[in-house]
Amino acid sequence: MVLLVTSDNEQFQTEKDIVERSVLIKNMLEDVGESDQPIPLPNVSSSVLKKVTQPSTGPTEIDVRGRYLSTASTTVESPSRPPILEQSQDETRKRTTDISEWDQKFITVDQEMLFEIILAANYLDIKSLLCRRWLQDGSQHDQGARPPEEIRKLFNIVNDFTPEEEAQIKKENEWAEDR
Amino acid sequence: MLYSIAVNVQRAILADLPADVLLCIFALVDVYGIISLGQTCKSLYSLAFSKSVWLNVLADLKRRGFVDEATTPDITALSAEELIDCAKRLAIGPSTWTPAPDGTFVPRVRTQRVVWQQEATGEDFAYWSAARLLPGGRYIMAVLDCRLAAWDIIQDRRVQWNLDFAANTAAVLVWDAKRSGDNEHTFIVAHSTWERSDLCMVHITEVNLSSGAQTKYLSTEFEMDKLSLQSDFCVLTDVRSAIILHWRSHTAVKLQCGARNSLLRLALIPGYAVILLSALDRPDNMFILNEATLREHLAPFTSLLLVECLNVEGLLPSARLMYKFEGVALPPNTNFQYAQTVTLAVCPSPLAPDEYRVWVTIRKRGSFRMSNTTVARMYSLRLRVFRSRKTNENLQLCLRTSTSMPSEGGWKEDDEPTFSGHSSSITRNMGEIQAFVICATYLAVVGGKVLLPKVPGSPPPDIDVSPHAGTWLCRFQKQLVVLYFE
Repeated sequence: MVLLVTSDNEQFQTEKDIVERSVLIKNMLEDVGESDQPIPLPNVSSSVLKKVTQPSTGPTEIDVRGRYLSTASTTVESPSRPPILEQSQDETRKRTTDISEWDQKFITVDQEMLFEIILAANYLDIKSLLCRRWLQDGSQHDQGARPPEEIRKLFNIVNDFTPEEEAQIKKENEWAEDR
Repeated sequence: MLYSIAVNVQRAILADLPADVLLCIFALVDVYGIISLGQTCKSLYSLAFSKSVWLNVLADLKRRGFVDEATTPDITALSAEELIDCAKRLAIGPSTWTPAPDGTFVPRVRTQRVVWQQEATGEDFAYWSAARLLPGGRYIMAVLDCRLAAWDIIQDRRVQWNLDFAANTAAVLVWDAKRSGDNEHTFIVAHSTWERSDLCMVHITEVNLSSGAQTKYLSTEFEMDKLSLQSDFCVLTDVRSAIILHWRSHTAVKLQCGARNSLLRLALIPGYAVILLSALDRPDNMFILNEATLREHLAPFTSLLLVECLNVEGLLPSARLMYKFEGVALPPNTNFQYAQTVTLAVCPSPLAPDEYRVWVTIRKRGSFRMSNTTVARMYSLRLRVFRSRKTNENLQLCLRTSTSMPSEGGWKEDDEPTFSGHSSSITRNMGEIQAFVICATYLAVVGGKVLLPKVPGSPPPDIDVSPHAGTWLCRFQKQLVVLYFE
């Protein structure tokens, strides 16, 4: 067992083989060696760490998009292992097309939480990630990539293009438009 | 500390993420996602169209064999604009493949390479056919004097490699080759040989075209017309049936269509089989069947002639009807001549990992009250697999373009179209250096009479077209020329 301490000073007992899938923690453990010392994670809050290490079972709490909740709760098999287990180090380089069920549930969190999770995942070096799904799948438009307007709304991005610039960019990129 | 930047933000916004995290996100989304993100605001725009993002995209495409190594040997030397342009060509074809108002199109050639010449090899009489560029664009494979031969375009030499034949008299009939894993030189080659009048064989071999080393996986008796490879499967087809051969485990299953006047075409993508059922007097239907359903029926075999045969109609209840090709059915009571050609090709798309471009050509002919009726159309469809969804909506097939194909002076029944991720074409030699080409790029239909670039001293061309990253491979009588288009 490994003891993790989050930014809000909460302690977590976690299986070693689970946390070792985070490249950062694995390196830390190697540096420290066998020790009972807790590992500080000053960049990760307890709520985020829970999200990142806990096996997800049952329907997820907050549903932003509405549609995901049904997908997540109707699936029969629930993943018995947390996401970091599904991500081996060498896989992080490849573009993985297979988004785990865990990721599916993972994305049913609110915006601030998502933001923190992205940062935490980056900090812990776990790159399987959710963003891809947030940005692409599940758009109500043709189930393809989300159009820019929808991404702006979702992530509260301010459109700072002039209408001319926007039209120009749209025209230049027509070839990759997801029609 | 990254976290401290955002820890007190009330409304977290994506654009506030540090650039290194955003670059990670860009590396995880497909081309659609990158373009879409880049259109949201200025800061994301500058990142989305930066060199590092597109280098990543191109590196992935190169790994998948899309990037032409002969013309683009080093992607890191390209600027951001050139990288984006390269991806664009892969998606929608060369920039000069656009239709002119009069229906012709004049593709401009950037460079051309004479790969092989009769004189240079010193062979007295060389007959060769079925030349195609292999994924990656470095090697050309063709049948030369009834044997499979390969050329290395970069080193400008014939690959010293000979497939180990059962008999010296064997002649190669059809072949297909796909990359084996990520190695740019290693290919899985499937080819069939005609050994003697009553014996055809199919062979599956792994070949390293750089070293010439080869491993033989399978050789077995065979009775079909065509074959194509998809990862560990080889699909062997004739008019009414298809054998799905899992060559690593030496198991196979045969599908046959039982209905009268029906044709069966089959292609595989990871996890699914795409089935096209065509009938003369009914709309043609495209089904998608879960690979698991087929795997249940895979069984060991001693000869491909004796593989367990399944009626495809029996499998259809477990398949999903994805598309109905309307308007290609002949009127009822037509006096059918057996003149029906249907092709199906499924090519991976460069824009997203689980997206495919499906090309279908359907041509039917019959006579009705003494006059002939012909329908001929080419379709381009997009197939997407959403693997994360364990629901029935995880597959999506939609039509992108379709065009009717003139039969006079153009397409003949025995013409085989060629396909790639961005376009499909059928050519007909019209004498001199003209060719009739019907070509559908992914987004538009172009076609008509094409003036092929003249190769000095060459006789009238005999053309094989194989679009690969904007190249065509033209077979002139005594030369093999690759044309790279602007």
